[in-house]
Amino acid sequence: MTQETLTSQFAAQLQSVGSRFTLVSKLSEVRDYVGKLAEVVQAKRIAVSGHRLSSLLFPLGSPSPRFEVASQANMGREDFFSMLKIVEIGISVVDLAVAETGTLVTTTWDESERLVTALPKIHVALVSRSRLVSSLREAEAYVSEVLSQSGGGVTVSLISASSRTADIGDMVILGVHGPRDLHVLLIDEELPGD
Amino acid sequence: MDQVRSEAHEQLLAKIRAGLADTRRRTALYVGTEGGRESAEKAYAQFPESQDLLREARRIKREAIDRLDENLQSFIRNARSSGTIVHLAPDAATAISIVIDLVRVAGATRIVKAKSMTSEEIDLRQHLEAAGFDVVETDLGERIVQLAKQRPSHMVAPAIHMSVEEVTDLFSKNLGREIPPDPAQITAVARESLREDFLNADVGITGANFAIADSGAILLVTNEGNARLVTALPRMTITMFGVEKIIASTTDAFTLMQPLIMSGAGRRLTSYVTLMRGGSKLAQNGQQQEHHVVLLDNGRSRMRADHEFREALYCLRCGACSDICPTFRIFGGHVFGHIYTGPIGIPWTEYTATPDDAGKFAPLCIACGLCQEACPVDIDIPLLIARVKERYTESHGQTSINRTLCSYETFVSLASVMAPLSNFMLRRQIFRHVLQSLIGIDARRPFPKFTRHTFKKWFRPHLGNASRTVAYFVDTFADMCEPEIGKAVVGILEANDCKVILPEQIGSGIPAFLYGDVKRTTQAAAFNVRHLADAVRNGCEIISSEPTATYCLRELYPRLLGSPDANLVAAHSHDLFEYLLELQRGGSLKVARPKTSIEPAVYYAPCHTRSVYGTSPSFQVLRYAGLDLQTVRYSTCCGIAGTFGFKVGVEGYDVSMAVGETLFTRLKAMNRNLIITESSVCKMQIEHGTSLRVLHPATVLWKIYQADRAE
Repeated sequence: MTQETLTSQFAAQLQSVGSRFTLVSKLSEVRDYVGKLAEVVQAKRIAVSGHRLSSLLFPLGSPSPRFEVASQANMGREDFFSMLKIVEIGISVVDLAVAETGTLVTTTWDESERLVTALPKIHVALVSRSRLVSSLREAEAYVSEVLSQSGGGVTVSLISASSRTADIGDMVILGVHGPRDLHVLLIDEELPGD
Repeated sequence: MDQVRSEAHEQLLAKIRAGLADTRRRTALYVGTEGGRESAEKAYAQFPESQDLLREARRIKREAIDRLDENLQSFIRNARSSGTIVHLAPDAATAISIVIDLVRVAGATRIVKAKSMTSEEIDLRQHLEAAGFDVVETDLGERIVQLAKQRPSHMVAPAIHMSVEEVTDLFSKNLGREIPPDPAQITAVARESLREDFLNADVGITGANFAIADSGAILLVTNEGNARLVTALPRMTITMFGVEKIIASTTDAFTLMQPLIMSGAGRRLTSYVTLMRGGSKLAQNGQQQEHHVVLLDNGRSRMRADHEFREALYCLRCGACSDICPTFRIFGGHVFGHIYTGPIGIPWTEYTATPDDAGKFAPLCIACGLCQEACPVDIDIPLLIARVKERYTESHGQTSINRTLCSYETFVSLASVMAPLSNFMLRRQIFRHVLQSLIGIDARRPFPKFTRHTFKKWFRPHLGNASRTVAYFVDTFADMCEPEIGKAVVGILEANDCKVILPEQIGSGIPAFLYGDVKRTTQAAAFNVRHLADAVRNGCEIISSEPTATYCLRELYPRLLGSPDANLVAAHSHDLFEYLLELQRGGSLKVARPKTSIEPAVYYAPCHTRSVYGTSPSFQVLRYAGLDLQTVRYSTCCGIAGTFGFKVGVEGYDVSMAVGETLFTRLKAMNRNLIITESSVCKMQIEHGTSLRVLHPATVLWKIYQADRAE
């Protein structure tokens, strides 16, 4: 499968469940995207998962006076946890993405990283183009390795859509516990894993 | 023993009466189950390799249960190596005391829970609450039933039976303020209030969809994302699940989660799938989360030792059998269930609760066979339910009407011999009232007409040369009520160069199966298989024209007998139209084109055609022959279910008419006067419910052949 068909399949899968898909070439575009998003939804606080992503994305802290950027790079664990409870947007990098199902695969050892993708109303996930695989089977090989090699204390999350329920009147409602909106940015640049 | 009026049965009838009258609940259930089924169908339609996936899923579960001891040891070892503390609970009481002790020792007071049928099974929440802990269900559906002080009425959608208004009232009361009756606003309010609970919880309790032996990891499937918060925020998590959830590897988990999600949630994947190995570092203080696993047996080892019920342990808990079950869709799990609900809930209740608990609601199963069709791992739920009924009636006795109806085939023979007097009597209201009060057959249910000029008396083997010989397994209806069907079958086969023989045979025995007299069905199976196997060995294929007969030969008899002969007969048995379709594919079907005007018709696929073939061969053949034929959009049973719809009032007739209501409305709305279906009982039900004319597809096709010949 060519890169183009893989990308368009991935995009189509994400869009079919209401997620936003955007292609970007470099980190500065991510920064602009997040800035605009924060403006539209009037977000005052943004959490970034991982030290390195945060220092790459926002090396000088928040680029705007309108929102604050929280990460474990610029604050202690307890403060970061307090921020997590109130941030509107969470940004994370994924290990792998699956075109066939529109699935994001992330591995976390620290719950504060997983919570960046679970507590806010909006989750922005960054995928390096090199991390896009075609099938669930390929992702399975990776997950299998993570689980068998770690000594424990590891969580693998497969995210294929935003949080939703159909428990009231059989109507689909988004954002019941976790993010209501999922934005996926596929980026040409390599991103750091933490 | 006679259980004409037992207390348990009276209680069930009272629940049926109340359920039929509760139109709000019935609407909610109908909409919810229809949505579940349709979305599952769509998910599978978009996944072309699903048949291979389902076969593989069944193989994996079979092996996992076969090697349970080995997998269990490996799971325990690997979970421990990741820092998880593993507890074994042979029964409910032990599991409860383990959990209560853990919570107490941790000095915890507030508990958040994710959805777990296993915890429902042992009433874990109720026990924790009684011990003074504050427990909050966080799955929205579970939270709703918790606030309503009810149990889940469906394994996947716990509050499927509730209307938006009922849910609005519950949350308004709980939060002490008026909330508008709008699912989006209720959900937003619930998010806010449950978020506080998550953040303040000391302990999180979840179930597991799968437990992976070779890594000791747990897999959780969720759309809401509540299980993520339950496992990420509290300082201690307790994962409790039944030992049947243990499978060998991550590869197996990836295979099994797909049918679970497609059948259960109607999507390719749920929003979240979480795999956890041990407790991660806590966000609040960086310490390792305390991670416990409680493995519950509670009857599962006994279930596994029962060579028939063992298969029930393959259940993925997707709830698809409930969504398709005709009577579940009327009543929901509070009537059709004990704790485990729906069709698979019956065999599960037999072992995780008691045979009495299972036997009490088992009569709600009308043996349509659709649950097995919907089951992604092909569990023979109909047979397991028949066994539950069998055991229950052996210890409690049979109701007299059921005992009478088990002999339905004898009754038909008698009515045939006595025709036309029997027909005259059966049309007299005064006689019908006697039948109703003495025997329990509803006076409103029309009987078919019986004839003494039966098909078997008419039949003579065709003498000339033919390229093949086929054996006809004729059903009682085509024999003693409408011999024209049997004659049409023979005519069509002979027109296609088949010599037809009629080996020795008796009625299929299925009427007894419905009421749990499995022995009688097995005897009929043994007799028929013995004679039909001889015919097969002489080079014959077996043909039947009644879907239930084909279902018996191909699905039920092999399971009941488990003999090489039964498998042989199954492999060589065909519905007439499947056989014709094969001839057509081989280019040897002699087609007649409808030169007479057969009016436009609607085709209805009987349950047993769907459970054997998935699609309908007769629809394809009739369309191929040029008939203007449409299908009706309808997913469940017409409601009559053999003799069930003959039983008086809430025992059968009322339920059967309630099940058929949607079908009747849809058929009438299609504005065609002719309905085609191959099942004799569906025919009776549709004629009764719509006043439209109903014909067997063989009768229609034979008319076309005859008109063709006349030219």
